[in-house]
Amino acid sequence: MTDNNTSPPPDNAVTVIYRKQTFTVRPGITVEEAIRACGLDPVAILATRDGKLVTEEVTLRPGDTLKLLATISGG
Amino acid sequence: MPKRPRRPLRCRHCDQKAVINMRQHKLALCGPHFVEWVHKQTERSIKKWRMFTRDERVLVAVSGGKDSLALWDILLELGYQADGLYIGLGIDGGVHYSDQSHEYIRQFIAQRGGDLTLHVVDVAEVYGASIPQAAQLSRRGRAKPCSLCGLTKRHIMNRIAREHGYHVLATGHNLDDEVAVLFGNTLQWAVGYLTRQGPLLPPSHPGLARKVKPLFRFYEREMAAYAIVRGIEYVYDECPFAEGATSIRHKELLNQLEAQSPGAKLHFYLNFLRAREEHGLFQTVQEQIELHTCPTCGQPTTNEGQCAFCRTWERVQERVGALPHTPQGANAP
Ligand code: SF4
Ligand SMILES: [Zn+2]
Ligand SMILES: [Zn+2]
Repeated sequence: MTDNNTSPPPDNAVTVIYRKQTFTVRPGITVEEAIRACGLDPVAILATRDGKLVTEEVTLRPGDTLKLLATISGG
Repeated sequence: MPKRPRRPLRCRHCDQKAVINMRQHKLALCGPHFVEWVHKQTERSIKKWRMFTRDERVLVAVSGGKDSLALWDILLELGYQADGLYIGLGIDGGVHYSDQSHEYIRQFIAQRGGDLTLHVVDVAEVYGASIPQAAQLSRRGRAKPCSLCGLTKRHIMNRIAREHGYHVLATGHNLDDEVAVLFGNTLQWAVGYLTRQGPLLPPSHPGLARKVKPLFRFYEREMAAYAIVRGIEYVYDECPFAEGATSIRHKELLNQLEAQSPGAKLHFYLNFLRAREEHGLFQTVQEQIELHTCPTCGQPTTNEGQCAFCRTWERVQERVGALPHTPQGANAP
């Protein structure tokens, strides 16, 4: 996994967006593996692809964009 | 060599692709069945705890966050008489937190045809100072305005419920909120709080509304999923003062526990309730707490004389003239 703030990802990579960060992971891994690759724990994370929720065992395809949402709030 | 894709999880009820997998319930559901499940579970909690009936008027405290908007949505879908209350705290924190929150609520109402009742109380307009300003002016919460903020919100909720004749005051606390508070109170053995914490708080005083938390069985993650599935947009930025809050640290700890044994959070909380309701844990303490009436506002207080809200805000109002002319909430981090 690389932090991809500098160079654009190759066409077949998977882009993962979490808060203001963008990561690149390789296709073929699962959503759960992608979440862990970003240093997060799936227990408090939701993932969406094309605006739709996806479960953790879903396999990521080339060119996918995965958005991660932390679900811990305070106050 | 790339791995062969696994077959995606299917909904237990219809074999469509699941949108959420809830390990603590061993339950995966598609969007429509998840929404149905949330509605049924909420209805069950409301009935089991006798929170309210369809004849009673419910005031929902909405902050613009996912939980309170989801709660309002669920209650309306279930056919309850639910109106909203928004309290404008005047918190900016560089992200226009309060303005943003109000905007999401307006959007929620507009999406439902605009035909909902929302009571709006702007703290600065009504009491003369925003929450960050008041925190600076009073001795309470110089560093963080949270204790003053909590005190003020509680007072306003009680007041609006009473003035408009609501039987019930509902808040969007989810299981993670409840468990974090329970965990914190247990670490301190804060017996007074442990006696009262729960999904239903009967009115402690004549004229006060019953307080309920219909979402208390849902994980925070489930409420975020519900908002996404239902297309409810909500304020994603935290209140800037929540950063580093003890409750967040506790939630993270509890999630570590949950990751290792799914259901840990749910059982910690439900077993606590059971120990109290069925086995009399803390029951003797309950009888000892005596409440007084604040001579200024008529709300309950643990000590004789003015309540903490009235005392604090009187002090703020005395000093408000000395306030430097800064934009609202400019002192936020
Ligand atoms: S985190 Fe923000 S909204 Fe919550 S109590 Fe503190 S100041 Fe109020
Ligand atoms: Zn289904
Ligand atoms: Zn008072």
